[in-house]
Amino acid sequence: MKPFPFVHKEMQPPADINYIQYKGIWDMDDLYKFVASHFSRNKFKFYEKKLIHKRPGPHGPETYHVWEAKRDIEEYYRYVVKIFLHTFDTQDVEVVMKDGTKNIFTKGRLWIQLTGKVVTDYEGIWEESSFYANLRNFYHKYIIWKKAESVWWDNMHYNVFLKLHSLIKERLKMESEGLESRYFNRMR
Amino acid sequence: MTELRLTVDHLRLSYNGPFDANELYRNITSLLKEKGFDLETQKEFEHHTKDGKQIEWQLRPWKQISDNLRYLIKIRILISNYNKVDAVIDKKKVKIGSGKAEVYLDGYADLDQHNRWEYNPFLQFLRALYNNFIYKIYTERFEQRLTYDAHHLYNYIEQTFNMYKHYHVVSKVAPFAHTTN
Repeated sequence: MKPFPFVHKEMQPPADINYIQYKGIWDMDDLYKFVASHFSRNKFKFYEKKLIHKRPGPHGPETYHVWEAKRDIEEYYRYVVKIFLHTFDTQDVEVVMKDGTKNIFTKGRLWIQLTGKVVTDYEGIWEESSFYANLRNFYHKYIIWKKAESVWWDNMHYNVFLKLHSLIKERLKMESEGLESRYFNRMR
Repeated sequence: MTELRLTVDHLRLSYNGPFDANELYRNITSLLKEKGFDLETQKEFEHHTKDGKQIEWQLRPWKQISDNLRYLIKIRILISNYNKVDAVIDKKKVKIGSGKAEVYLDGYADLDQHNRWEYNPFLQFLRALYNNFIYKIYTERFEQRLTYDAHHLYNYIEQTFNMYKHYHVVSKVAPFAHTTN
């Protein structure tokens, strides 16, 4: 049920959408496993929501991957990270690794879109009546606002969202592996 | 569902080298008992593979603080490729264990243990008011104590593994790189 509009304080997502644009050769299987294992290590549940393979065009096939990861932190809020991968103009190429083994990698263009947000009241128990919905607005605005703003969102933004962004870039060899700043946000 | 406040989030410790798994278990349980925790073992598996033993322990020690509040620490220990190797201790040849260990720690403060404030959102709202304003100083202090206990346990496990003797060259491995991933 919709609450009255007068004090409606919606919890907004903490981060804007981040993008990675890549052109070259990459290992799609490795990227998938890497992202999935990163989420499972950090107690997220990882879902592969969609996989659309479009009819090949003149430059190669086009594929859409939609992934989603969720983590219920406490009973009231959860982190949700959505990843949209768009690969196009791709073709399989055989590469020779440093140890002499041969692998099939993907050559083409990759477009990754990352969205992260903190979802409050994910079970929807405060939406049973208009009174509860307004109570939730009050609760957001005056009781947990500081905590959400300074703890939940920051944690989501720096420890989950930006970290994943830099890790994917590192995996695609877009930046040096010794990037020390990825360890700065969390000492332990 | 009670109000479980996540206070210590996924402390991770990774170690590869010689250690005694029984001693590790004994040290953890003795420290927890010393701190007044009651132990609950949730998982205790051991698989024998050709590379060595794979051991998984999951402990859930808890400590009652007040009528409504208790601490919960979730300890998950994963040991892989655990084998006995020869070593020299005090000029004597002995057999000790060696393998890879990963330890995960999570700390939760259970603020409504008996679910008395769970019946409807209005009561949950009152509970939030109570925890955030009326009882705020105590709630925060209890959370600090739990954080302290969890980090103490973490340091104690590090000492058990004797990790302070291992050094990483900063130019090759970023500081604390072994604890974050």
